Amino acid sequence: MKYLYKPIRKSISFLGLSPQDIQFVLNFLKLNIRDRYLGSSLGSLWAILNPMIMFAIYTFVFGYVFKAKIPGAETNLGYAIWLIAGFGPWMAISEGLMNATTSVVAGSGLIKNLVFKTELLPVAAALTGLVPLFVSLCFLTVLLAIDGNTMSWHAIFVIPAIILQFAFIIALGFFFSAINVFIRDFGIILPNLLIMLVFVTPIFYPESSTPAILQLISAFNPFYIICQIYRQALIFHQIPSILSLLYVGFISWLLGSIGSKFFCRLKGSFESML
Amino acid sequence: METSRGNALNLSVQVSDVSKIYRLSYTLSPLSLLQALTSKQDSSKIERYKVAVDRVSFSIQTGDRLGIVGANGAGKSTLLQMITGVSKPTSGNIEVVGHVTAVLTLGVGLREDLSGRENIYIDGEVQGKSRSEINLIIDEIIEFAELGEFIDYPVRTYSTGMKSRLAFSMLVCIEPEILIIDEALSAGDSVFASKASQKIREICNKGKIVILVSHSMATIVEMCDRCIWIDQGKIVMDGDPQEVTSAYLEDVRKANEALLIEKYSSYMKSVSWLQGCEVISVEAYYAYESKPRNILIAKQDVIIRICLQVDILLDNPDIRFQIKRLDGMVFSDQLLSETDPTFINTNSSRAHSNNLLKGLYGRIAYDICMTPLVLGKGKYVLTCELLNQDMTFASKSTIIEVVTPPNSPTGVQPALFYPSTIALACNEIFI
Repeated sequence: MKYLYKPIRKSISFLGLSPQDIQFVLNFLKLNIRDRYLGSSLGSLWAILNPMIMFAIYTFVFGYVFKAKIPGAETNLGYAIWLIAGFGPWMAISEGLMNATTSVVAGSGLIKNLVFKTELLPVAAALTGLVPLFVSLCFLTVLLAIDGNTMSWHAIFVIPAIILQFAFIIALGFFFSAINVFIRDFGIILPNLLIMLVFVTPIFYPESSTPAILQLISAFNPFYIICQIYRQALIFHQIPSILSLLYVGFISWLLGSIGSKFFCRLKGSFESML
Repeated sequence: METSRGNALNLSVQVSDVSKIYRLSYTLSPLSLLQALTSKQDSSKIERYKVAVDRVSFSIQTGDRLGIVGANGAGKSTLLQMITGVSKPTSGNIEVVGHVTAVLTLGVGLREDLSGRENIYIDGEVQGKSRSEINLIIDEIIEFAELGEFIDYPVRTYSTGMKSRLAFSMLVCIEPEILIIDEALSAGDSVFASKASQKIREICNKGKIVILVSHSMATIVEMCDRCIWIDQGKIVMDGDPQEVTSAYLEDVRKANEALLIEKYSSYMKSVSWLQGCEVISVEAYYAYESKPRNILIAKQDVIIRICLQVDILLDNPDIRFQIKRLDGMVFSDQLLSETDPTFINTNSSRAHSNNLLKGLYGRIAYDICMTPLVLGKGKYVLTCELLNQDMTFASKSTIIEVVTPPNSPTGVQPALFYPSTIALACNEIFI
C-alpha cells in the first residue's frame, strides 16, 4: 500500500494539526466530557464540581483538621495550597492518561464506520485533563488570595507548563491507547499504576523528606518536574529551571514522535481487533 | 490507500488484486500486539485465519453504479470497508480518486440520554463539522425525520422505528462524490421506508460513483447498471445486474435445495419389493420449466411427475400418490383409479384388469398438475406407491419445501391457500 497522505500525516505527526483536525479534536473533547456525565441532571457541570469538591475536602482536612505543615509554608492553608498546586496538575495527568488509554477502544464504533485520523482520539481524550487542571488553578487563585500570598508575574510560567504537560500526556496516550487495543488488561491496571506513581512522585510530601534514592529519581521524573513547575510559578514566585523545561520538552517530543509512529503502525490492525 | 481529490469528471475506484486476511484469535494478547507491530503479515505463519477477500480486482469509473451481491460472510462488507478506508487490505492496492462518503451502519453513535436534536449535532461533530455548519442542515434533517415534538425528547423514549428514522435522516444532507452504501437502509414504517428509498435514489443520483451492497435484488436491478457477485471472497460474476442477480438467486436456490435434501435425506426413500417393479422418480417442476426442483414458491403452477418402470404382468395394479406434511398431516392421498375414469376399477371384470391392457407397462410417466400449487409454507413428503391387489410393490418418496413468495405478508400462514384440486391431466407412455 502506498500513501499519498503520507507527507501530510508526517507533518501532523505531533503538533502540526490542520484546522479540520483541530475541529475534530474540539468536537471529540466536548463529546468526551459530555458522554461521561450523560443522563445526570447536572450534566457536564460535574466535570467542574467533582474536582472542586475534592479540592475542598483536601483543603478542609489538611488546613483545619490535620493542620499539616511543610517547610516554607507555615500558615494554616500553607500545606493545602502546596498540595493542590501539585495535586491539581497530577489529576490532569492521571485523568488525561486514563481517558487517552481507553479512547480507541471506546471509539470502536467510530473507527469501524468512519474514516478519520484515529490518532486524534487519544489527543482529544488526553485534553480532558484540562478540566480538572483549570478547576485546580481557579481554586488555587482563591486560596492564595485568602492566604495573602497572591500570585506574582511568575504565574506566566504556568502556560509553558500546561503545554509541556499535555504534550507529555498525549505522547504517552499514543502508546497507551494503542496497547490497550491489544492488551485490554492495561486499561484495567492503569489506575493502580497511577496510584503507585503518585506515591513515588513527591506530591503529597516534600521531596526533602524522601529517601536519597527517590530524590535522585525525582530529579529525572517528568511527572514530578511538571508538578514542581506549577508550585514554583504559583506559590514560590520562582522562575522554573529552563533546563527542566527543556528536559520535559525533549522527552515529550521524543515519546511523541515515536508514539505517533507506533500508533500509526498499529492503527491498521485496530479495525480487526475491536 | 491511495486517495486524492480528482476533478469532478474523473473519479475512479481501482481495486487491484486485493486480499484481506483476518487472523482468528479468541483472545487478545501481547503476542497479537507484536504481530501487528511487525506488520508484514505472512499468512503461512498464522495458524487460524480467514480469507475474507481473496485477490479481487475491478475498477469503477465516473457514472458507474455498482451493486454487490453475495451471501452473508462472502466478503462484501470487508471489501466496502477497504474501499472506504476504514480497514486496510492485507495485500493488493486500492486507488480511489475522489472523496468517499460511506454509509456502513446507521445510528452508530446514537446517545440514548440526549434528545434527537442533540444527537444530530453529535453526528455532525463526529464527522468533523462545526456547529454553524450543522445549523445549516439541521432543519432539513428534522423535517425529514418527521418526529414532531419527539425531536426534543431523549432518544431512549423513542420507539425502534423512530430511532432508525432519526438515524436515517442524518444522511439526507450528504453530497457524495463516491457514495458507498451497505444495505440495512430500511427504516421505519412502510410510508417512511418508501420515502427513505426515494431519498437514497436521489442521493445516488447526486453521487458520481455509487457502490451499493444489498440483499434486495430488486433494489440492485433498479439502481445499478453493473453488478458483482462475490462468494467466499472471490468475484464469481460481474456484469448486467439482471443477469448477475438471477444467476445469484439460482445459486442460492440450489444451495438451499442441497441443504434441504441433505437434511431430510431419510425421507427420500426408494424401495422395491418385487423385481421388475420400480418407481423411478417423483419430481416437482414449475409448469414453465423442465428442471426438477425441491424448493417451490407457493401459488405457482406446478407439475409433479411420477415415473415408473413395470416389466411384469400385474393383476390389479394401481398407483397411490400421497402428500404429507413433515408433521404428519396428510394433504392428499389418492389412488389413480379414483381420479382417472379410464382406469376402471378392476373388481368387476378381472379380464380387463391386466396392467398391460391398462397401459401400465414399461416405462410410464404421469404428470400431476397443481395449477396453482395450493400448499402453504412448509416441508412436504411426496410419496408414490405402485400397488397390486392392495399390496405395495414399489415406492419412492421425495421432499419438497414450499416457500411463500418474496414480499408476501408475514404472520399466520395458511396450510392451504384453498382446497386442493389435484387433477391428473395427462398420461403419456413411452416404452
